[in-house]
Amino acid sequence: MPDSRRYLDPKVVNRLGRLEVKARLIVEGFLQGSHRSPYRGASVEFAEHREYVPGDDLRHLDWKVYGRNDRYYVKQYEEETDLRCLIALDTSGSMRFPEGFDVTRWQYGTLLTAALSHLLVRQRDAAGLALFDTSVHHFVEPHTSPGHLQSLFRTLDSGARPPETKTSLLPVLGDLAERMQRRGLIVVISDFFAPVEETLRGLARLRKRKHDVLLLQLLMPEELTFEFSRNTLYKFVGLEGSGELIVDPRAMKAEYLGAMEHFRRELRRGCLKERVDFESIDTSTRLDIPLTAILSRRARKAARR
Amino acid sequence: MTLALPLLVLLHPALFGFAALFAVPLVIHLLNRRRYRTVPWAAMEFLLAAYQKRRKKLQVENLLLLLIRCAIPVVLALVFARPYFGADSLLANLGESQREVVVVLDESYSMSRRAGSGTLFQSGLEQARRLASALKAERQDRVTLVTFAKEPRLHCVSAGLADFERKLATLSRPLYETTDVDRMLDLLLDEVLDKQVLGHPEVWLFTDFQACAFEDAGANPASDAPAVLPSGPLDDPTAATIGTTRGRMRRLGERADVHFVSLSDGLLPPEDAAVVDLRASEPLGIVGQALRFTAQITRTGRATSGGGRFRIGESERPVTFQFDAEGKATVELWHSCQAEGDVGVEFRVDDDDLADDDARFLRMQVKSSLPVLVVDGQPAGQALDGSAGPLLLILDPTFDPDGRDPEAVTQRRWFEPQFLPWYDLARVKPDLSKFDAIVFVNVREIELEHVLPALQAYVESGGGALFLLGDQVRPEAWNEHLFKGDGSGLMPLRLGAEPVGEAYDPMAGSARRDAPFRLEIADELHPAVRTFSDDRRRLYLRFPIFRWWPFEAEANGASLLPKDARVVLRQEKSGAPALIDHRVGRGRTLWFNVSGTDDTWSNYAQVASAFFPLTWDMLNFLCVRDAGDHQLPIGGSIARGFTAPPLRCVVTPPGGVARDQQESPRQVGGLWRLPAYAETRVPGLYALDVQFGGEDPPLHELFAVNVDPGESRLATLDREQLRSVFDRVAFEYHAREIPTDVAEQAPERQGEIWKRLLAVLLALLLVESLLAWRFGSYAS
Repeated sequence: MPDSRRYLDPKVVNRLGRLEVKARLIVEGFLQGSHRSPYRGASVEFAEHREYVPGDDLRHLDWKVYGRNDRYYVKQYEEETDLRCLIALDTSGSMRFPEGFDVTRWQYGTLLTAALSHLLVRQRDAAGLALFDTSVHHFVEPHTSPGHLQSLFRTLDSGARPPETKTSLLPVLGDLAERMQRRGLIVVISDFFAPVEETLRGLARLRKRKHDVLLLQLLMPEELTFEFSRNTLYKFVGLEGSGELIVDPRAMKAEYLGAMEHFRRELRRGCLKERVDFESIDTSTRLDIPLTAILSRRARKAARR
Repeated sequence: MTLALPLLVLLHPALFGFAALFAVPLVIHLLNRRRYRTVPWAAMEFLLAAYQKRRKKLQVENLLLLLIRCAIPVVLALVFARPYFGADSLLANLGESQREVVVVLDESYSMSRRAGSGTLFQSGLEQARRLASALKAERQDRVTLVTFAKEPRLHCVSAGLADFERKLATLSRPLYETTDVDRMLDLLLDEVLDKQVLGHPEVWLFTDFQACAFEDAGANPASDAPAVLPSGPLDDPTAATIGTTRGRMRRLGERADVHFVSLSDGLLPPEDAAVVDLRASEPLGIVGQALRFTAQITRTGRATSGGGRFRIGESERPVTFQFDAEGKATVELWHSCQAEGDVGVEFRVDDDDLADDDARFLRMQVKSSLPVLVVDGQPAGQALDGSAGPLLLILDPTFDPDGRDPEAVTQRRWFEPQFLPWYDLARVKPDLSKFDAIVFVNVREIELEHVLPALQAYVESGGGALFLLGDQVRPEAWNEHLFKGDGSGLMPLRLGAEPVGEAYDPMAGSARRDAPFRLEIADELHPAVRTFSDDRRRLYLRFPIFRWWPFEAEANGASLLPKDARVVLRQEKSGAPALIDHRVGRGRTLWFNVSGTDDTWSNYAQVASAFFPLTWDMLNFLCVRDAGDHQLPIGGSIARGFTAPPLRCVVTPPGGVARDQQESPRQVGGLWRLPAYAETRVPGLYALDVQFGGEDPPLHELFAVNVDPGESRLATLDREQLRSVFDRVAFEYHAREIPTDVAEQAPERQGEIWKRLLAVLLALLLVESLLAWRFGSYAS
């Protein structure tokens, strides 16, 4: 059986075909590993059978059907899930960094969003999508049906914005708080290169509505290490029209990393205060890490019920 | 040449031009600002924040790096330019302390003067060694050795002490030369101190301080000093003094610490008799002829008399002499040489305090007779009946071309004339080289195809020709073939188209004959009129001349006389030339516009008191060939040319070993020329022996080499006189010996800092490397 875990490498899977295919392969790779579905959803009222797919809980396998038909089916119950997950993905210009490389931040974000959506829908969780920059420009209400996935993927494919597009998290997060009437899990995927104070205020509004919020900050390796191979000057051209600077990176490295670390620390501290989960993801890492982070929270939520 | 900047002096200022390379790092910096890679960047906010924080520090770091990189080529250029601080500079202590000493030793022959048990030169060597012994090799003390006589010699420059000792050991005695102080000072100033020796050295001058060498700068013709010292005040530093010995010495005093070591100070005045001249009464001698040899002696000291000896050939005769009140003496000796050939003459005084000027030498050429070819332009049936007849008898009273009286043959003859009618010259084609002189008496013209070329070659190789112009002369032929506008022809000036004056008719019977002109001497010292040098005898030249050939001597008021010609006799009233001496190649021609063959033209032949001695003097003059080439100064070249190729050539120096000349002779201008022998460093008689092939007899010639008697003026300048002459020169005076405390004084600060600058340069390079690694390359 081919090893699907290689599709967890964003560079590998990004070269493949449609987003739907990529998402499925990522999920297969995820589940093939040690990542069993943490879903332990249970209901007392039988609703219907559905065909077994790897990862389903074997406790729900209808052996009688198997004995009759030689095929595996699991029982589905009413209200098998009550998780409503909205994935909010940043489409601003800064997400297009670094252009010309294997995987941009945007591409990593879409892979992650697609895989997560696929995984949630499979688990009969409701997955929704919100694309935003200075405002929410695409919104897909969370649904559980498999056909809903196609809608999510189509939205993702068409969600790319011009590079000079800016980000405004405060109005976006406020808008999301209004749109999500029912409590759920809101996963915000972005670089969060915005004033920390505004971000925290937005998060506060989400928390006010009792939503669970998970921030996934996607950062490129260069942004984290500030390592450049050539001993020469670089002209840094800001995305989103944020200015230019000609400088030798070696001369600025310490100060830049200090500023970056300060920003992340402030954001993390703020999230902690607002009881928002925060994960900083290096986009060179495998996709199972953020997936695990998300699903762990989903499992904790289910356990608290 | 050095360049003085406000604080320091650059030894090689031209190399400091490389400091302009400081612009290279600047240009690289400016170019680098245009070269960068463009990177889109999302986290711009953090980068800008980091830049704001780092900006000032970055600018300082980059500026520091740029300054260091610009400073490196400047410091490197300074290292090559070798700067140093003068001893007076406030920064002198930055320089390295070592002694740079220049030893200047007089090696003219006056330094051979006896001083105690040795000579002044040996005393100078001893003091130079004493000075060197006070120097320290471990301190990198350096010594330059210069000796000087006629030419300065640089033996070693800024050498170590061992090198200096080696060079000093090669000096054993002075040269036989005079002193040229100006040339020595020029070498010190222009070559040694400006180009080769660093800092502010000490110059130690070891000499006897002869007054004639140091006081009278104009006495030395080689120097560029004016003939007399400027008459202005001694403290007036006018430009006129710059080119003098004083001016040079002043410049030396500004450039170095000058020490005068007078090796003659405190010595008793020398007793020296110097032979300053030796000559013979005749330029060449005839066998059996009584020749008078005269020696002139000058005295330094108090002696009133002296003794010496003549040595003529193998004959030696002692003499004594008395000095007059001016310290001069003259000694004469009569001697007749009994054999043909070169005779060496030496006069030597008895030994005294300076031996180098005790002798003088002379080369005397002795011939059995002087063969003279007489070409008669108007011959008669008998030789003596032609126009050349009187001349033939003057030259040889026993002349008989047809047969010889056996008794007459035994008589000594000065001249040995051979007679030839002018029209036989081309037919007979005599070998002109066998004659000491050729006389053309009233010849109408010279045959062009054979005679003229042979005559031209004969004169150019040293022969002499006398042209007596009479009524047979065709001026157009002479002007066309013997005159050349550049003075290289045999004739110096063109002849007029017609003779001038009216011929005298002796049959007219008048008792009074008004002569158009008489002769007067134009060149008193010319050998051709030697007999008429006193007032009484010059009257003999006042014979009447009625008709003569004019020379075209002037045009538009300008003289046409060539530079190699001079007028010996001229017309008394008009000053027009009558007898002209013209140098052609190595020989001479004499042109007399009076033939003496026709008494209607002049009474020349009738005035025996004029005709005889004037003819004799002219022919004597013409027969002496390049006698000056055999009297040489020290260092003069022995050079000869021959009509036949020599097979072997040997030069024997006085008291030395005969040496074959290895280099082959070369044919130049029709003569075979030997390579010049210039190793005439010792006075005396040098023998040149040449062997030829075929039937040409071997040649033996002598060359007399003498010292310049000017160096024998031994009067010296004492301390006060030196301070008066060099009043604007700061110098230390030492009498004969260097004081030990001065010799061992603390080293003068030379202030040379190039080594320290090199250390600074290395430090700069190290700092630049560290900072570059630390800061990175340039940033905006």
